[in-house]
Amino acid sequence: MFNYKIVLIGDFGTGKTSLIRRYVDNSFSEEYISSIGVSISKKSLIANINEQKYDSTMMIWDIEGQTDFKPILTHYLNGAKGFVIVADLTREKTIESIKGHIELCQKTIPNLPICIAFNKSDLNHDEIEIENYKNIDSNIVGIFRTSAKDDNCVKELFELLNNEIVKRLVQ
Amino acid sequence: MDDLGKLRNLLLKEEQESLLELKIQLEKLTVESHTPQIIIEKISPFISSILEKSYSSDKKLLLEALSPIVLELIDRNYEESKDKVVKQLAPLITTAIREKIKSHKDEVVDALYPVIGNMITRYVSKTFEDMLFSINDQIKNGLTFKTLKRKINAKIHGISETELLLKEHALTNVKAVFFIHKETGIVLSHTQNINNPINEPEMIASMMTAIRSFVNDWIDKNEKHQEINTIEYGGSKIVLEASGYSYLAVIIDGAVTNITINSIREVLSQLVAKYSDEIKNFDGNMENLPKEEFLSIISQLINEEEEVNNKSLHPLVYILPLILVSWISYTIYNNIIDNNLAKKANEILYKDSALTIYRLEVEVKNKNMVINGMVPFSFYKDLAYKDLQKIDNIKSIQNNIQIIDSFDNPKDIYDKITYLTLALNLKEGNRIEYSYNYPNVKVFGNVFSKKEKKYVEEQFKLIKGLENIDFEVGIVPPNIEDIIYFEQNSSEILPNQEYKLIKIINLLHNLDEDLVLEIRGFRDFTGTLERNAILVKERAENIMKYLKVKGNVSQKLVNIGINDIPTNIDKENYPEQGRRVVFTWKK
Repeated sequence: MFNYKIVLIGDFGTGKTSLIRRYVDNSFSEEYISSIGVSISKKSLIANINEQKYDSTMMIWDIEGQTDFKPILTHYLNGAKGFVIVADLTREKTIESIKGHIELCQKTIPNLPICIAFNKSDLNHDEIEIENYKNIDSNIVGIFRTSAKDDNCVKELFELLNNEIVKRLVQ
Repeated sequence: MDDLGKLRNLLLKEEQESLLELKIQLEKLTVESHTPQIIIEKISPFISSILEKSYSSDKKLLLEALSPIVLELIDRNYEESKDKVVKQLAPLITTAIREKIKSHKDEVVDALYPVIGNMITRYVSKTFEDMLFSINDQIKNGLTFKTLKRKINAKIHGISETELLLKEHALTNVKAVFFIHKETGIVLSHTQNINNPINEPEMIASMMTAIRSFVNDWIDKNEKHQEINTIEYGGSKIVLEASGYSYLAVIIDGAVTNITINSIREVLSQLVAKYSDEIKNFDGNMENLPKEEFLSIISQLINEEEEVNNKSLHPLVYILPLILVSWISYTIYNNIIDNNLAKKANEILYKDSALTIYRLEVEVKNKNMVINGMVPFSFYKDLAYKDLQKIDNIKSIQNNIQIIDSFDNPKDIYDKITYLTLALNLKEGNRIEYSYNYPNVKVFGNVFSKKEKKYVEEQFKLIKGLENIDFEVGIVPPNIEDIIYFEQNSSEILPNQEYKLIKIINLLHNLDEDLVLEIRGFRDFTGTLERNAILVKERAENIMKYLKVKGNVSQKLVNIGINDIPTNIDKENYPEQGRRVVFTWKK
């Protein structure tokens, strides 16, 4: 049984909250995000590692998105076991921020598994080679085009991250 | 000097000089080697270089060589100049601690927590004891149904009422306890009251961690090493007690007492002291945690006793009998107090010998005293009042003692009148009589002056028990019976007659001033009519002058010469008795 924390990071309006809402078992009111900058959700998962199953509980910290006026509250990153960076495929600026977010994660806790979600894949957007982003950092374990609306790749993203985290913990 | 000497000088002169110089230098060195001051001066510039070189070439060797010496030096130095060492080291130690806290804050906190926790606990316990005493005092003064119930409970269980009071509010209202990993917010262990099940403890723990982190982040910018302690919501509180890598969140209903806070600290102290490594190294794998041990420690905070659900009764059901019982008890209690006071008061009055004979009785109602009874004089009334004022715890004294001369019965009054009349009549000129018909008296007869009449009337009024005094006393000046005799053919006052005149003067002084006294002079058988006419006049005049001049009497005096022989004399045996002066009141 593993209980751990992951943090979702991304610019304001990238759809972090929608992704979580689509996925989790239970969550606190999203109003908390505007009051204290974070909302907590929970997801029970099973990791399959070397044909052995491990129960885990993932506590997902959805922190307030970064804007020009508001920096990310970095103390919420402490103690995390993995990160999900969320960008909005329809807004280039949010994609440009990915690098900075990864740097922040590495600075806070180095060498944790990171997944990148290029969200809002259901909307029209410019074509980009998301695989290129894998080269930004060696800790990136997965890159997905996600859509909260169409439930595209959301489950896959969290399950991959869970597997990676539990694998590291087991080892 | 022989040749050999010369030769030696010649050959060895240089050597000899060198030798001498060496000898001098050797002596100098010997002296210097025994003078530490010089050695220190010479060596000190090189010591640091030597040490530095040795340190870089063979650190271990140098350490081994130096450490015993250094230790001894430190020991000696410390013994000899303790204060100086302390002064020198203090800033270093402070800096070292500060640096250590900066770099490894959590480790320091965990290392210190059990010690400091206990210290604080002990201090708090002492403060708490003082508080217990003060609460005890307050409780003694209050009496309500609830406190009565508590008092009875305390007696039954044999513990202090205050403790019971606190227990009521302290541990019984702990709803849940979370033991949480500080950074991740993962629940390491949790327990809850059976009556208050908590859903999703992981969610709550994470959220609390987020809130804690949010607040602490903000506080940290303002004050160093401060933490949030309590989160309040509605009637409940979440008490947060943190150590280095973990914290306890305890959800409490209602008031949080010091006992609860103490218990929380104690529990966290136990956890940190025993399992600091497990907590510090927690990576998310729950299997590595001593779950059962955690649970048993944090369960100490939850009171297992289930509250007995009292079926609620209508308040009147117990309030009415309670009021009745209270009223009866209060009345009985008051009665006992009043009876005791009355008993005490009566005893005091009886024991006062001046009051023993009188039947005085004290009644007490609600601590208000009333004294009843009769005494002959107000003195006794006041005495009784004063005696009873000495008694404590009385609200008021009402003095109802009557002053009644009931000891004068008709016979006593008669005796008093008789004695008074007898006494008054002893005075010359008084002839007072009375007629007594209980409770009235009629007083009549004569007295010698107006002043005397007033006095007599007052005296009769003083007799107690008389209702009416009919006072009809007249004023009649007493007859002056004295007769002043003279020699034959003389109007001179004889010395042997003067005592009578003095007596008359004294009498006149007591009589009313508006009286008129006639002084009448008489003659004997001898002498001519003409001569006797002069003599009788002179005799009366001389007496008048005597009374006026020597006696200074106030009454009007009239002198009358009667040229005649008094009719009421024994003419045959005592013819000389005709030469006289007599006194009569002019009507």
